[in-house]
Formats: sequence, C-alpha cells, structure tokens
Amino acid sequence: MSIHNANEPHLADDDMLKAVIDDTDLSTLQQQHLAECSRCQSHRERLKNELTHLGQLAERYAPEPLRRISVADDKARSSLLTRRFTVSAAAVAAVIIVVWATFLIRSQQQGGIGNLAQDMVEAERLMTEVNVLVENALPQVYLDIVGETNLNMDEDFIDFLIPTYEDAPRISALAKKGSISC
Amino acid sequence: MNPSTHNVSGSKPSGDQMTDLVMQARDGNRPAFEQLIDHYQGDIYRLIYYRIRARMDAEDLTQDVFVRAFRNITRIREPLKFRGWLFRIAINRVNDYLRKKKVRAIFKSSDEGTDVQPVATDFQESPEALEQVLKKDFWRHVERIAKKLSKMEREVFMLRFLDNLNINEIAQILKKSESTVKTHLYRALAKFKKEKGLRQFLQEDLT
Repeated sequence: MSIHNANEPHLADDDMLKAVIDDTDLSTLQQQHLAECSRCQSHRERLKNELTHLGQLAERYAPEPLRRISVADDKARSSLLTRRFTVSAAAVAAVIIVVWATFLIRSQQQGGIGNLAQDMVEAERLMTEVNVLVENALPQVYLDIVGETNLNMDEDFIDFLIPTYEDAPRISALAKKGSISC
Repeated sequence: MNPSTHNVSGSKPSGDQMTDLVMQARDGNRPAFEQLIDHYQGDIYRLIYYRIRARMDAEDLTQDVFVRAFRNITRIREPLKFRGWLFRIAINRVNDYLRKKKVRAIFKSSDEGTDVQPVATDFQESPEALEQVLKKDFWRHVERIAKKLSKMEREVFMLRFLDNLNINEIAQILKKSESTVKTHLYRALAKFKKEKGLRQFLQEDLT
C-alpha cells in the first residue's frame, strides 16, 4: 500500500485506478483498507460515478437509429453488389481496352515515323557514297598506286580519256595530226 | 417503434434463450437471427456511432455487421461467445470504415462524414437547443480525451466505459489477455483523471 501520510495511509493514485477497474488486483492490506476507509471509498465512488455517467451520457447523446436492421434483403443486397461489381468490372475493362488501343496506335505511329527517318538517313548515306564516287570513281587501291588522291583532272583531259561519241572522230583526227598534247 | 429497443417477444431473452437463439440461427433459422438482431442492434449501433459519429453511416455499418454475422454464424462453435464475436465484427468494420475515410480525406478538403447539426445560440428559450449545445460539448470532450489515448487505450476505454463491457469480454473481443486489457485501462484511466474539462462536465451534469 502506498502511504500519503504517516498518520493517514490512503490508497495512492495508481492503487485507486486498480480499485476502480478491478479491486482484486489490490493487495489484501489495500483491500482491507478500502473496506474500512470512507475517504478512499468516496474517492473511488466519485471516480466510478463519473465513468458510469460518461457511458450514460454517451448513450443519451447518441441519436437513435431511424431504420430497423434486417437481413431479409440480404439476397437482394448481394445481387445488387454483384450487379455493381459487374458494371465496375465492365467499366474497368473498357478503360483498359481504350488505354491499350491508344498505346498501340501511338506506338505504331511512332514506329512509322522511326522507319521513315531511318530510310532517310540510309538514303542520305547512299547519296554521299554516290557523290564520292562521282567525284572520284577510282577505288582506294588504285588511288594508292597512282600516288595522288586528289587528281585535278579537267574536263578536257577526261574527254580525251573517255571521248564522247560526237567527239571521237575529231579527237582521232587531231591525234593523227599530232596536235593534241598531254 | 424505436428500433434499438424493439423485441419480437416483447421481453428480454434470458441467457439460455439467447444460447438457443444462437444455435437456431446457426442452423439457418432466420426468425431466430432476427430476434438476435432485435436484442443487439442497439448496442452495435451505438458502439459504431461512438467511434464514427455519423448516424447514417452508423446505420449502414450496423446493417453490414448483421449481414456478415448472418453469413458466417455457422462458424460459431460456442454460442455463449456470440456477443463478443458480434462486437468484434463491429470493431473490425469500424476500423475498415475509418481507414477508408482516412484515404478519402486525402482527396477532400473538409470532413463531410460527421454529424454537424446547427446549434441555436438562444438556447435559454429552447430546451432542445440547450440539449444540442450540451451534446456537442460532450462529444467535443470525448473527442479530446480520445485523441490523448493510444489506439489500444482508446479501444479498451471505450469498450469498458462507453459500451459497458467487462474486462473478460474486452479481452475476448480484442484477442488480448485480461492483464493486457487492464494495463491499457489503467493508463487510459490515469489520462482520464487528468482530463479536467470532461470530469467537470460530468460532475456538473451529475449535480
């Protein structure tokens, strides 16, 4: 037992809580004291009354239910829930389909644009190669043999090497006269 | 007729009669289950209302508790434990509701769930208005102390002093030992003792 005063041993606050909730948790001495001490009894009763009144007021201040509970419509309720579930599931499925279709179309569009860009890059690379060949048709091996990679050959020289059909008689005549010099 | 006090037979069934009703309901006897509803719906409704403070939602949840109980009553092996089992369903449903409400609150700016009733200021001329003021004040005090308690302290405190269950029943409902329940009750009660506003309100109402 906790003692507040040497002359007046009363239950301490913690012991008073035990007395309110379950007085069998008090020691035998404390129980004896509680049975004899009017002050401790009145303290406990006041606290107990407050707590009892708390419950009474809660009941008084809770509004009454307006409808009566019944499980008679349990089946109707469950079928309603099933219907609601079906509608919800259909809605979810529709959303999934729309999202999937949108994604599919978009990815296809993106794929088409991607292919087109790739084709353009390849075409550009091919044209670059063609241009290089137009500029200098000799493969690198022959250019290495020639020893010059940048041969500035003018059109007359090219025409001499590869005469056109119209120029061929003129050039061959000039050659015969020996008037063309390299 | 007040639904919370409605009883088909017109009198409160005894312990043995309750056991019989539970056993009959377990065997699929719907009228027997309806009698159990008549007996317990007030307690279950109030248990729910004390925790969610919204009448219509409390009614819906009460209905749901009994529907679930009816569907699962075949699982009860000891008819004497029906009351605790029913209360446990109710506590679980309340916790589900509060959890969902928390999630919904993220998307809402204000709390639309709790009952907010207009309070007249000239209550001196209207006893009903005075009652409304007292009611609002009472629940404000209860809410304040509830916030100061931990979840378990709050649950045992409400089950013991608002729902008027004994420690053994609380232990059964919460699936805890009696000593654990008592420990939480001691802590909750110590905090209650320090809550001067509520205690003063209760003492003034008592006198």
